[in-house]
Amino acid sequence: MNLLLSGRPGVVIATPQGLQYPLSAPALFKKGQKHFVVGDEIALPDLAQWLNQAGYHRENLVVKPGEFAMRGDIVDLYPLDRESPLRLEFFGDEIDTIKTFDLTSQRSLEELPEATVPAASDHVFTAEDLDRAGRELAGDLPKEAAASLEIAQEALANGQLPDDYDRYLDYLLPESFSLLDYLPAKGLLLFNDWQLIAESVKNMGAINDDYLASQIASKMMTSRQKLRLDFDAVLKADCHHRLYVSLIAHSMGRLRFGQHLAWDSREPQQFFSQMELLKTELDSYAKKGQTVVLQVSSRRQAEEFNRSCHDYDIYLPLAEADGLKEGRTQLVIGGYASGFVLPDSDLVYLTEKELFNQNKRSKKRIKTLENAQRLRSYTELKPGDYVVHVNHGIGRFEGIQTLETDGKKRDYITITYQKGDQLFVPADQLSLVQKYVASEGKQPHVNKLGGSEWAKTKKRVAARVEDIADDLIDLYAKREAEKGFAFSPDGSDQAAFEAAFPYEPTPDQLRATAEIKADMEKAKPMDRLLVGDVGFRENRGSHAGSL
Amino acid sequence: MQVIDFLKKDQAVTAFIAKTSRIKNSLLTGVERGAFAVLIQAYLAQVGQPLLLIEENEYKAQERYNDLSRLLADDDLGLLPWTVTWPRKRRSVHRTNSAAGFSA
Repeated sequence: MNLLLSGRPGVVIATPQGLQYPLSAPALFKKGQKHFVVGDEIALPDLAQWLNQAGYHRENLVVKPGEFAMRGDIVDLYPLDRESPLRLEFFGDEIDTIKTFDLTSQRSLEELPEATVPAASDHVFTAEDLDRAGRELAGDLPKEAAASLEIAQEALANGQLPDDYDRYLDYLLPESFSLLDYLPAKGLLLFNDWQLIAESVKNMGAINDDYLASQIASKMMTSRQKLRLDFDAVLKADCHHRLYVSLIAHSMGRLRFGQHLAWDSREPQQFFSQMELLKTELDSYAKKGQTVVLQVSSRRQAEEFNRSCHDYDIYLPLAEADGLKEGRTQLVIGGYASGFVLPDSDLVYLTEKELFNQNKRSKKRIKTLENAQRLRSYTELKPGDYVVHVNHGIGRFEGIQTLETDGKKRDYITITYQKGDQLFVPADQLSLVQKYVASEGKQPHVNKLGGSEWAKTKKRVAARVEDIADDLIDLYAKREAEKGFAFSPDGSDQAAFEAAFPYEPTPDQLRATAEIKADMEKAKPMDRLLVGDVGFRENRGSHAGSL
Repeated sequence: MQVIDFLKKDQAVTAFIAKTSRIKNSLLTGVERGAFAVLIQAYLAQVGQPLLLIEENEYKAQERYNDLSRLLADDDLGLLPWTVTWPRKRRSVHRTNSAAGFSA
């Protein structure tokens, strides 16, 4: 949302349901961010109050986005839009330094002259909003309303946001805005495969309607609660220019287009490490005068690939990504996930995917999915596996069933709980289910469907995690005070030893090795546990450390 | 030359991108996965405006994010979190959040 409001040329990716998500007015949202500049003055209690209001949660130690911690003149805070948390050091009320720091090592990464910190919530409400929502919800409460509804109303009446406040956006927002209201007037709205998007809107709309009907019938919601905006209405009210992109030209319904281009972009040939085939094709491209770019992900890979190529009389100059030569075949270190052929630009671009059938690792994932055993696909599960549903707890995965409701067939993930009770989770709600992870062979306790046991477990664990964090802080403070032996930094022997390893280390392995070396160079005892499935690369790490 | 500079040889694409900011609805077909990333880069470089990209579902959105995250700076790429896909199941970021709200 901040990226869109900034007007910078960038990309925000969302789903159709993201467009239907009701938001606060952009102007109000902007108020929820704060700009910190070195030398500025702000009283620490005022800062703490602002952070609380902006949705940041105070902790002893910052661990995840949306948290802040205060220790003396130091304020650590983890904005939602940053890869690394920020550390503000104060001298009295004056901001002395602003730095990013590494969560694991707590070491500073980069010193910044200024930093903008957005609210840790996608909504910003005024005190009037809460008051009005409380009153209006009270007026709409059905007789014998569900306890959750009454609790939410009570919280609002007391000027507090309920935990599940997004269920009450229809009351909280005086006027609903969508993500399109955050996109500047000259920004572009791009739909990738409109037909599938339209289908998704229809299906999700039906699911949402069913859900609303059941919630209203059980008096857990009022009839005013819609939870999301109408997709067609959002688009109808929108004036942005739109680009519809698809692989093939198929029916686009009633849409009319001011321009249509059938772009000639193609998937390149797959080589599967067949160097002779690659040689033949490279010769063929060269004869046609095409520019051919072969992409690898590191300088080391480029050297290794070039060595292999020499055996087949293929000689590839290494070019910079912004120094590609037209009409030449060249090697480049780059970041495209897949290759492409653009015949009208005489360009053939091959990545590791086409060359070696290797998929590049993602550079990063979004924060909300980090550290979770979230399932990408139900094919990752086999019947009998234990799974955890975010709301219903641990159960046994039985398989996928196609069920028909109201004449519509849909796939459901079937989970069995205590006494054989079964839960059918629509396959498109896979994000609510995680695979249960435990030590090998350990049988988990299966929860009761509809019971309060799971909610209590979650509450208990949350409290226990807080206790553990407190203990760890004490322990780390003691360890920090101890002295150890500082090893010298890497020399030429170490570099030669590591260069002799035949496999390319993964980014995680490189990071682990670098962190271990950094630990060993400190005059403090190392305190690190390296965990991994031991193969060559892990031995490499330990050998490198031993040397 | 960068990859997007090669697109300049394709006058049809360059003209098409330029017109997207003047025409209400534009349709571009024939876009393969790899070429999609080049198209996005070319749009940002040529038009210099933000772009809101809608993908069919959360999985595809995440895949697209992964593809583009290798090409665009962290600050120039965002993904609306999956929690927004299912607002009814969403809970506030913090269990004990009791923000009194900002004054208007």
